[in-house]
Amino acid sequence: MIRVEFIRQLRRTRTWACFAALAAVPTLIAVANRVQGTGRERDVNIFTQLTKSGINLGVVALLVMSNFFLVVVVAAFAGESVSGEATWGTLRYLLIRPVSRFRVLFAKMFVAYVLTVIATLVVTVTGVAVGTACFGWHNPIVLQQLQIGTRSFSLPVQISALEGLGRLTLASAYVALFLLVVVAVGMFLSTLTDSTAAAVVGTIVVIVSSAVLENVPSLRFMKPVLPTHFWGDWTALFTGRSTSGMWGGVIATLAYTAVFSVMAVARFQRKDILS
Amino acid sequence: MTGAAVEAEGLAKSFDSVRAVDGLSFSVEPGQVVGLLGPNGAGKTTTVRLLVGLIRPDAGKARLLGEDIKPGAKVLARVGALVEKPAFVPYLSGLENLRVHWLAGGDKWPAPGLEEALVVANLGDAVHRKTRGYSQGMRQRLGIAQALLNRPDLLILDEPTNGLDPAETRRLRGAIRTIADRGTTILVSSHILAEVEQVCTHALVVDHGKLVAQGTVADLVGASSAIDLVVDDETLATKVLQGIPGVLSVGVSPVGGLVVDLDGVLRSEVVAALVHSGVGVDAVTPRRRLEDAYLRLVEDDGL
Repeated sequence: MIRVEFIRQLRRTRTWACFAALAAVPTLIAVANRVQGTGRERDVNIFTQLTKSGINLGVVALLVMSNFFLVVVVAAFAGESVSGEATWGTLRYLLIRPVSRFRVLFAKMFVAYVLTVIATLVVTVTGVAVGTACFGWHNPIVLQQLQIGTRSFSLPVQISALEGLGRLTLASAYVALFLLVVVAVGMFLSTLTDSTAAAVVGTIVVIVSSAVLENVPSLRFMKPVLPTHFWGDWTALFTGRSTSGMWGGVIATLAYTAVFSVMAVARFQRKDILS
Repeated sequence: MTGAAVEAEGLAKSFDSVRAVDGLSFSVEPGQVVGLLGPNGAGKTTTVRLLVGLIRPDAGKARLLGEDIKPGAKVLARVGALVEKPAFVPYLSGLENLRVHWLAGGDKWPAPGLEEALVVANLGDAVHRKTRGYSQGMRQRLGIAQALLNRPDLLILDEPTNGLDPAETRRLRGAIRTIADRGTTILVSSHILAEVEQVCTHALVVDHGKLVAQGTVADLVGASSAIDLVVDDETLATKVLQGIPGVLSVGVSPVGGLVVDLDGVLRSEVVAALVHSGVGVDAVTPRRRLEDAYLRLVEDDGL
């Protein structure tokens, strides 16, 4: 079943178009900065360091893409998986084969997640590769927090390329893990509707709504239970801030994934296939 | 009912306030070719979906080849089905669609029934083209081929002649007979009575989700037979026919020609008598008696 799902996804032009689009953005950032330069910025942050090394561009690419673009692509992979088959009418033929619905859903979720990991790697690897081509292979710059009195300052410090790659790998793994929530939400919504567009857009709306609520001061009490609360904590690996929040992110991600996955299975097991 | 290929016991299914299937009970014995007849909206497709486990009944149960049906039931490996209309992944070729469908069941490719399936599909080199460019007839043939991949013990076909031209319909009829001859049980859902009359040994008539009649096609039609006659001289022909023992009645068909009810006399004897009397016979066709019986059944049921 997993093999069938891989055939179905990898033979699809849309899948490769998504990967190409994901690779295009870091390339554009690199080319733009190569042509125009970063300018003289007063602030010191991750973005102002992107021309320092290929690894720095990989970090920036991950930061830029993980906020929205990766979510959209992953929502497309997951949201389409069941509802797409319903739209084509192939779902009924898949489900009259002697294979349990749990197995069908598991295979679809597994493949959607493998594509998600690949998508994350495409962003990071393209960022590092294009960054290295444009700015050279140097030791990357990360920030260190310096506290003077009540004020804190970010200081750029150089770390070894190996350590930089290690941190970037860890950051990519964290982002990919967070996207597991998007996959689970997408799968659940995909079992609710026969409309691909509704499932994909619904998934994006859920994630974006969570991110929006995160920024509403009066809803501060809700923050710890929002799926996107720990979303950007991986940047601590490059900004010198505490990385302890990442553990909370791992636990929250696994919890949300479990909840939405169970809901997806429960719904799919009882779903009348009328498409 | 032990040993039946298909058993439905009090099947019921509603969608919102609409009772699509209402306490449907019937059985199909191994080796039978059974037509599931009914007007549009009678519950034929819902019944087919219930039988293959795509939808859950509100009440009752279905058994296929002796096994209770549920989603993903093992017995589905012995069942082939065309449900409502064929459907394919549009960016895969016809052959790739067959392969993907087969592999989804965890079986090794090629499927045991592939050769026969490709003959039925009759797509030639088009089987390697993406299905998004297929005509309705090509899709229909590929859908039927897909149902044959496992050389099924039970074949369920929902409106199999949809989109087929007369030549394709005839070929399909031949294929169904061949498949039936090797002992496969076949359930054909259709509202085209001529098709059912020509290929089925038995028929189930449903209306408003309920079973209206069940039996052999001959039982449903009745013992007597009738023919439509097109002749060059209807007056003389009527006179000759009325003199033949075994001709029960002679009437004029509303669409032209004569309708002759026969009882114990062969069609060939009738034609010989007419020709011998100088009447030119242009056409002799058996009357669609199933259509009459069917209309009587569904009209009695309140249509």
